Amino acid sequence: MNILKRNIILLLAACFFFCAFLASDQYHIEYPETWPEPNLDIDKYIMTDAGVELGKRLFYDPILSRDNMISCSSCHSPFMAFAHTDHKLSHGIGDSIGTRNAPPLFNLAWHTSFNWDGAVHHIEVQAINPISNPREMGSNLKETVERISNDSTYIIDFSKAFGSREITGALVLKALAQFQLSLISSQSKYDLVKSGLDTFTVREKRGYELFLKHCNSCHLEPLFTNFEFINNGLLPDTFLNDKGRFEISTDSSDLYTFKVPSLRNIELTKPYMHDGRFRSLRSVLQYYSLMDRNEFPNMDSRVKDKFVFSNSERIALEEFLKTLTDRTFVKNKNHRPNPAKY
Amino acid sequence: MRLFYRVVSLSVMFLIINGNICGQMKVKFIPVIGQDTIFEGVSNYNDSLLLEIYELKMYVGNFSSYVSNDVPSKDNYYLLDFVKIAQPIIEIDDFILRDTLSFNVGVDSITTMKGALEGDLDPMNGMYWTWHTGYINLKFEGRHMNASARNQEFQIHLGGYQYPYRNDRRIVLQVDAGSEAVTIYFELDKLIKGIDFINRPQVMSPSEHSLKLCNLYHLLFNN
Repeated sequence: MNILKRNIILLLAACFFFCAFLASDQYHIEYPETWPEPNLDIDKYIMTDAGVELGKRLFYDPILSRDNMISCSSCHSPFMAFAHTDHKLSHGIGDSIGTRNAPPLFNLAWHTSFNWDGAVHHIEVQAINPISNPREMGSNLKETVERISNDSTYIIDFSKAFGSREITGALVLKALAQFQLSLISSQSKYDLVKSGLDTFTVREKRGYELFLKHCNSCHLEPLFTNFEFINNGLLPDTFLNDKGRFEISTDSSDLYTFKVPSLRNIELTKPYMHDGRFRSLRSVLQYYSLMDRNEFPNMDSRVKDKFVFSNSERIALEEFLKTLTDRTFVKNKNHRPNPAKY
Repeated sequence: MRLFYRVVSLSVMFLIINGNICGQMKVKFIPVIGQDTIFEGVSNYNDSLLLEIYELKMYVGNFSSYVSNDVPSKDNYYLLDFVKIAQPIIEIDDFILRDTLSFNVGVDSITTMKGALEGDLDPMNGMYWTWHTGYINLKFEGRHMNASARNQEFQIHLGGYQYPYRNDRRIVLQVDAGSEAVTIYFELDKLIKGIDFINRPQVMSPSEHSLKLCNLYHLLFNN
């Protein structure tokens, strides 16, 4: 073969290995084949190992808050599927109490909006909300970036993740988004049963049948939410008078509607509802069983259909809901903070 | 091998020449109140109205020499801060000016949906709503003698990208084809006339009040 052909082949081979080297850094979100496609185009979305690691570092770092005391994990605990448990309303800087219960974090690439009222349209810009809220982190994005930029170890990490020694608000947000998008919960007992690797008990099976009949239209499997905003008849708390989605859309048909939460890991994420008013699954099911269905004009029709559970039906439902707990997700060491490196 | 080098050098020359043919266009914005131009820094611009301007910031972008949005335009957005630089000049490369110049005032919904963007669109520039994510397209704050709020202060934050309160607008101007510089007067007095200082000195969310003001945009920009 002549010298030109040899050189071209060597050049192509070098390019191939270079690309392969770059590609190995790309972080891939894995999910079961039977799931629908995520709302976010994860094939196009740039995620790298270094980006996810940086996002995780930021997630656990109280540097995001004005007084260096509150991190994302203050309200989103990795031990409880990243929810805020044992607090009805999440609290933040200076022990100030917020107006809602922080939801758990997993499978976020499927969400069509974020927060209980869908105020946030893209996962990347969600973090601006708590960073700026005077009752959460009490800061603003510009000052947060200044605090982070004063830490030379962060400059190294941003360099690794984005090839930039200049830290900007956009890069902070993108890193946080990458970590959060990496949180995938798909290996509960329910998932194992669905892929033929386990079987429900008799009670769990009965609970699943009841679930499909009464709950699935809003808590749609396999993600266990249809991401809609619905009014499920909860009487507004007289102190908070939280109008939910209406605060964002100003459409009266959205009055007192809230985003349907996913029921995955529900065993771990009490208390329940947007204001944490129910302490147990039992009280949630009793509510649905006994609620006054004439209270609200815009109560969702799927909730309006009366369903009363007997005791054994309630227990079966609870048993089924417990099969949605994904212990592999909750115990995943990759989601926990790294021991201090610096 | 010689053929290869010839192809490479011809391609390079072609690229250089192409760059030169398109050239650069400069767009200058001059905010005015009646006959008066605005200067940098906070100051009294009109004694009779007791008007003081604390903040005047605006996003413009998607410059195009075609009226229709379907034709690809330069999709950069620029954050203009008139209190910092009273007569900002935007330089746009590779732009052939025909007889119209169109641009967006405010960030369009497709761009907004992309998430956290960089440069002038970085949310840390303070032109981003935290409580309902999306850009603040125009921020106008100051004092006016008719403002009914505390200290006669007003705050107009115009934003929103979702129906029914889409608050960005496309401006179309007739220009001289082929020119390399365009000056656009931003007639602030027409916006001020539209603000209800007595009943609504604060507009802080997408609403019919912000929509009413954004519907004035096509009157505000003239060359």
